[in-house]
This record gives sequence, structure tokens and C-alpha cells, in this order.
Amino acid sequence: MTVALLGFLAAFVLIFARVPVAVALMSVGTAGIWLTYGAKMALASMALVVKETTLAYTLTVIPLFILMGAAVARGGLAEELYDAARALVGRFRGGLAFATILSCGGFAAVSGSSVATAVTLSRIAVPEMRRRGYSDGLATGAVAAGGTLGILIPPSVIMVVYGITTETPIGELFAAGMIPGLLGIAGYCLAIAWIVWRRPQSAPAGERVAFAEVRAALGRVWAVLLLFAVVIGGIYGGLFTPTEAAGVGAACSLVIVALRGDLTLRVLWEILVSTAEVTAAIFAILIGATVFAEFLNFSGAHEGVLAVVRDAGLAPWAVIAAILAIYLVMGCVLESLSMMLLTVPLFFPIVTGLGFDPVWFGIVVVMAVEIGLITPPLGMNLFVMRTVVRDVPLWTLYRGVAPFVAADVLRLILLAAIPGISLFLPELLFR
Amino acid sequence: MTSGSGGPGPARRLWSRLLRAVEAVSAVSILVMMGLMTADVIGREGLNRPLPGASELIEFCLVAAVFTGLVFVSWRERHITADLFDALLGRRGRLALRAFGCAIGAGIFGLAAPQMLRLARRAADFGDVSATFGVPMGWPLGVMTALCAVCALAFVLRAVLLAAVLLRGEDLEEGAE
Amino acid sequence: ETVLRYSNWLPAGHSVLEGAIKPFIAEVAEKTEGRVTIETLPKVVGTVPGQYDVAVDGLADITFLVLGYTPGRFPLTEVAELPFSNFDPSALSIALWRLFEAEIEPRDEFKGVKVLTLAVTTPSQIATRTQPIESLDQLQGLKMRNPVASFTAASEALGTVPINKPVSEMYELASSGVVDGTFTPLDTMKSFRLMEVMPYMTKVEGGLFQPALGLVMNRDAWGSLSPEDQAVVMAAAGEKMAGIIGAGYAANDVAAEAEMNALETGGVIEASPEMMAALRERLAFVEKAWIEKAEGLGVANAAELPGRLRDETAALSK
Ligand code: NA
Ligand code: NA
Repeated sequence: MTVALLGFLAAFVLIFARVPVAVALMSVGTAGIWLTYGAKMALASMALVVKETTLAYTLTVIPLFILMGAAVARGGLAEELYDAARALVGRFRGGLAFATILSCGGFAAVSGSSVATAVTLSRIAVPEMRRRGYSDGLATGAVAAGGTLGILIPPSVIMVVYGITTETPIGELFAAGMIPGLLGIAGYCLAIAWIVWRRPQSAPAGERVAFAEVRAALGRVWAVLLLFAVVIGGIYGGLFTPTEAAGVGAACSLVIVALRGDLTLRVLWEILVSTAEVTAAIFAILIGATVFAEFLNFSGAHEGVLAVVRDAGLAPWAVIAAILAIYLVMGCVLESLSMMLLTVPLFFPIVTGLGFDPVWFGIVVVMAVEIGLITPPLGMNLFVMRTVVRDVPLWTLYRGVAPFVAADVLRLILLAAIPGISLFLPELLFR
Repeated sequence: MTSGSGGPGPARRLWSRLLRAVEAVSAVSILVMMGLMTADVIGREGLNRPLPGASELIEFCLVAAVFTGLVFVSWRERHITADLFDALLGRRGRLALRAFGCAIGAGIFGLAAPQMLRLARRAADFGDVSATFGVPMGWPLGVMTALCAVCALAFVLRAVLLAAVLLRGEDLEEGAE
Repeated sequence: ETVLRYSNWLPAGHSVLEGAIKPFIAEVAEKTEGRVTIETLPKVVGTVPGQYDVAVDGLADITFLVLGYTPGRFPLTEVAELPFSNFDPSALSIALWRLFEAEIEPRDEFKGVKVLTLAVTTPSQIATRTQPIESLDQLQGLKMRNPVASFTAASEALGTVPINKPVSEMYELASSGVVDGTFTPLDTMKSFRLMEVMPYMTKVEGGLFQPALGLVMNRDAWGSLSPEDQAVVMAAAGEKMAGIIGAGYAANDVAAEAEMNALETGGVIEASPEMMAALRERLAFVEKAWIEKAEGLGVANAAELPGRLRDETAALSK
């Protein structure tokens, strides 16, 4: 247990010293096994992880969903989503912020990644909002928060990883994320309404949009709708598995981009290389976190945590509350994928042992991890904002995202308290 | 490359050529993976004839994409990194930490490569084959070994480059090759 | 005093873990008077398919293997997986262990480890989604999930379309209708909730296939035990454990069959003599192929081994 805590500490020190997260986890995990069991064990176990993590068919879903998102982003579909959403809600005060949330939700339905959603929409929405006199905090907060919808609304890379590591059906997880995702959109919209009500100067009044314009804009979002229908409809209609859906979805998105005349060889090349880059970075983290998890396994941390839970005599709901609290704290300092990979092997047996539903726990974990994406100091989506708007002070970013974090925490409590919200669709479709 | 680190001209040219090849393999693997999966689904649903061995080929593509990807992600410093205290550090501090991160990366992948070689040798000795096509598993593992080594090399070169820039006090343009 | 680490991936409550491995651990501790104890690690070391490497490298001292996860590594032991031989998994497991000790262990097929026991599960049957299979014709063109990649040729010989997907996706594949059925033993119909989505099963006499399983120990760890303690370990494992593992699977099957027959739609039927004859004819090549492979590896008496295994099983299961 002490060894494990020292390991966590060492990993944090390296991560904050700007060592790549993957490299930090991999080195600390290897060093930990080395110090407790010797070099031979440490090196052999690291090599085995490297081999087994990549020779895994189900994990191909990760590059393929990333490819799909990259193609969609490159194909200009996000701009159209944003235009359509703006035509729809632009007439309200703060309309562009509402439109940002809606188009994030729409983009999330065809992208498996939160960061990709935030990056894509930030390039479109943030400059537009700043030009129209929105406060920097509201503009960046809305995109950072809206981006998190990317991993809750299916498809979702994080859910896939949860499903694979815990052997929970990915199709059920995807179905379970749908309603919480819609609740997320509602929650963020309420947060915007609250901001605009408290500080009307943070967003200008809306503009009327002619009905014909609304109809025209809505008519252009067919591509996104079609892609979502193919992927999700294919999974639930029995045409293919979630893993295959990633491949088919990626192929369809490339075809759509090509049909719109935007796919030159050069563009295809850029899409593929950027996909390869993100894929390698994610797999590096997968490998690093798995090595670290092996170290935790050898260190007896699991027994330690179990003993703490047992000795404390906590009620089942209190265990869940404690776990969620741990996530919210860890989310402040850890990256989402590694956070999930490190903690789920520890918590999953405890939670399912208490009789909780693995699909519901998956949604709650993804939700908690998602909050980590927008909580300071270390939130991936906030970093994304920094790269897009370098002139906005960090403090403004933090303050801007706070109302959205509040909406998220309320939603997390709601989902944790009422499992039926998440489980309604999986029950309907699968059980 | 800015200067010095890649050694003399021919070595530098070789390295950039290698990087381009590695990038191409990565990109093509991902495209092939997508094609195989789509063909498998269409074959199965449309013709009741799934692509034989598709899942095995897809696995090999994944290995190729990831390990080649690791090489240029490491070289270009595109790993996920917490640049939390960047603002506090100043230019030299940042460069030093980046070089430090690359050095650690070089160390860990340098340790991984010989171990992967051991696994590759063992697979060859024990007669491991892939399930569908009977490909001797020593081959894909050998490729992983080689790419782990190149990845370590990429980290080393990057660390040297960053250290050189730091010592000379120049500025490093983003994504310099 | 020696502490051995066992890497466990079997879920709590699994018949192999509860009925065979835990009693084995207890027996070893007791009979060696505490000189050898076995500690179960909280989480599997490495991945399930990687358990053989885990034992060879000594990342854990004892691991439990599904032999088919490392194709090509144990060609001779694959004799256990031949069709129409599994009338009694307990007897087949014991017979397999005897055959292994006599014919396979001297050839060092399991390099780097000491094999503590070998066993088989109950046999794979035909499970389907929409209708019971009463003749081979009904199988033609059905998309069937393949239990292991090496079963592909057999699946094709039966006229089905083999779908190679991981077992973790099986429930979804069947519930969404991507596959029409699967070749699977009865007990997974219960443990993976498959009977909800594939309520029909046709039992094939002796089964179509059964995965071979093994409990193995790192060879250095084995060598570190005194001959006396080694004898204790083998008395607790070996033939005794093989029988227990097989019997545990058989008991699961009985429970699963009763549950399936209680379903409103669906249930278990036996393949007719005509269907059996057709199946035997179509799958005759499987045994021939194994014999050829074994002969190629220098096993001169390969042709008699499958028969020997069956006879021994029959003698044991009276
Ligand atoms: Na998504
Ligand atoms: Na955070």
C-alpha cells in the first residue's frame, strides 16, 4: 500500500515535470516492480504489456473512431452544424453560446473524443463569439464544457476502453450514455441561461433569423445525421458490432467528405497522419497505464483499498460517493484516459461486488472523468482552449468554466442517485 | 533539424527519410484497417461471406500503425503532456524539462526493445503462429522490437537537439525536423 | 518457506477456482506443513491470452491457461480438442493427463513450465437464435461465432459461415443478430447469459470441440521446491485436479440444461442418428489432420493416440 502511494507520488512528480504522461507511468510502473521484485520481473512484465496491449483486435475501435472524427472535422461538417444551431437558437440572448453547446452535442454524436470535439468547435465558435462581444469566459467555457459531450454521447473512445477493461458490453454502454448526454446539453444550456441572467453584459442580445434561413441551415446537417444513423443504427439494428461500427463509420465519413468534393489526396493524407498521431499518443498512455496497473497489482494496493472500505463499514451508497469524490479530486490533476485506466481496475470489483450495475458504473465513471476534463488546474479541454486563444488569462478560463462544472456535478449526483436514467435505454434495447 | 544533433548531412537526410517512411506506413495501415473492417461487414451482411482472417490482418495493421506512430509522435513531442507550469518556467526551464522528458522516454523504450526481442525470439523458438494464416509470430514481434528501438532513437535525438538548443541559447521553432 | 504467486483471471464463484484451485492451494499448504504456500494475486498478471508467457517469465509462479489462446505452441496436446470424444469431461480430463504423462511430457511441449494438470471443459454444442437445428441442412449458410480460430475449417465443413469475434462480444453479437448462433458448451449459455439471446441448442453426442486447459508453474519455481514438496504438489494436482475440473464443468452443464429447458421458447434437443452420421462424416478430416501434424512432429504412434484417449475415457466413465 505504501509502495503504491509512493508510486502515485512519483508519477505525479514526473508528470508535473513535463515528462509525457505515458512515459511517466511506464517508467514509474517498471521502476516500482524493479524495486520490489527485481529487474527481471520488471522488464519482462513491461515487455509483455507492450505486446499484449497492441495485438488486440477490439482496440482497433480507437483509431477508427478517431479517424471518423478527423474526417468529419476536416470535411467542414462542424461549421454546418454550428450554422444550423445558430439559426435555431441565435435569437436568444447568449444564442451563440447555446448554439455552441448544441453543435458540440451534434459533433459528439459522430466523434469519439472529447478533445477532438473541443478543438474542432473552438476554432469555429470562439472567434465568432468574441467578435460579437461575448465575454471571454463564457465563450471558452461553453466550448470546453460542450467538448466533454464527446465522450458521453456515443460513440465514445473512453467508453470503449472501459468496456474492454471490464468486459462490459460496449453497445449497452453506448445506449446508456444517450440520455445522460442529452441531460448534459440541457444542463449546460441552463448554466448559460444562468450566466446571462446574472451578468447580461457577458453576452449580447440575439438577432432574429428568417425562417427560410433556419430551414436552409437545418437542411445542410444531413451528413452528420446520416453518419450518426449509420453508426448507431447499425449497432442496434444488428448489422455490426461497435468495433465494426468504427470502421464503417470512418469509411462513410470519408465517402461523405469525398462526395462533397473536399477530399483531395493531400487532405486524405493529413487526416490519416493526424489520426495516426492521436492513436499513437493514446496507445502510449494505454501501455503506460497498464504497466502502472501491473505495478499496483503486485504492490497489494487493491487489498489495501478493499480493507479500508471494509473497515470503514461504509454503506454501499457511501462507497459510491467516496469513489466519485476521489474521481473529482483526481480529475484536477490527471488526464482522463489514464485516470480511468488506473482507477477502474481498483474500483470495479468493489462496486460490482456491492451489487451495482457495471453499465451504470461505467456511465458514472465516464461522467466523473469528463468533469476532470474541465476542472482546473489540469483539464485537457482547458489546455485546448489555451492553444486556440492564447491571449485569454488562465484565471478567466477557470472562472468561465465554473458554472458548467457546477451543472456537471449536479448531473453526476442525479445519475449516481437514479441508475434508471442511464439504464433505461440499455434495458429497452438489450435486456 | 535545426543544427548539429542529427550529425552530418547524410545521417540527417537518412533520418528524415526514415521518418517519412514511418509516417507513410502508419497512415496506410489505418486506411487498410478501415477498408478491411468495412469489407468484412459488407461481405458478411451482403454476401454471407465475411473476409477470411480479417480480424487477424486488422490486428497486424494496428500494431504497425501504433508502433510507427510512436516513432514520430516521440520525435515531434506530440505525447500527451501536462504543460501546467509552463508559464512559470521561462524558456530555458521549459527546454530543460522537455529534454529531460525525452531522455526518460529514451531510457524506457531503450529498455523495452531488448525485452521485445526476447519475446520475438521465444515466439520463434516455441513455434507460435497466428490463428488464421499461421504467420510465425516471431515476425510481427520482430517488427515491434525494431520500432521500439527506433522510438528510443527518436527520443535520444530529440533530447540531444533540445539540449543543443538550450546550450546555444537559440530558439526552437515548433515541430522542427 | 516458499511463497508462490498464482495469477488468477477466473471470476469469483467459477467452478474451476472454487472447486479445484482453492482446494489445491489449501491442500499444498496443509500437506507441506506451511513450507509451500500459494498466494492469489488480486488481479490477473498480464492478459488472459498472455498467461503462458507470464508463467515462463516468472511474473507469476502459477497460471491457468486456455491452450488455444497461443496457437501453434501445444500441437500435440490439441489431441484433447478432437470432436466426438467428450462423453464425460471428468473422465476425458483424467485420460488426457495420463496420455500427457506417457506421450507428451517427454517431448517437452510446454517449454519453460512444469505442467501441474490438464483438463477439458464440456463439449461445444450448436446454439442458435431463432430455431432448433434438427438436421445439417438447417445449418447451411448460418453465421456462427467460432469458438477458436482453429475451428474455422470445421465450421466451414459444416456449411456455416465462421465469424471470428472475441468471446466478450458474444452476447452483443447474438442479441443484435450479427450472428445466427455459436458453437458453445452448455454452461456458457448460463454464465454469459447467452440463453436469453440464443434459446435453442442441439446436443451433439461427444461434442464438436472442447478447449484444453492447463495449470502450469514456472520451471525455476518448480525446481526450487524439494522433491518431497514436489510430490505433495503433484498429488494435489495432476490426475486428481483434472478429474475435479472436468466434473465441475459437467455439473454446470446439468444446471444450465435444466434452466434452458425451463425457457418458454427454446430448449435443448439431441442430434438425431442421421444428423450424427452426417456430422461424423463431415468432420472426419479433423482427426486425420491432427494425426498428420503429430506424425510430422515425429510422433510415430500418432495414429493410435486419439483412439487410446477415447478408450481410456470410456473405461474411466463406466
Ligand atoms: Na461521441
Ligand atoms: Na481536470
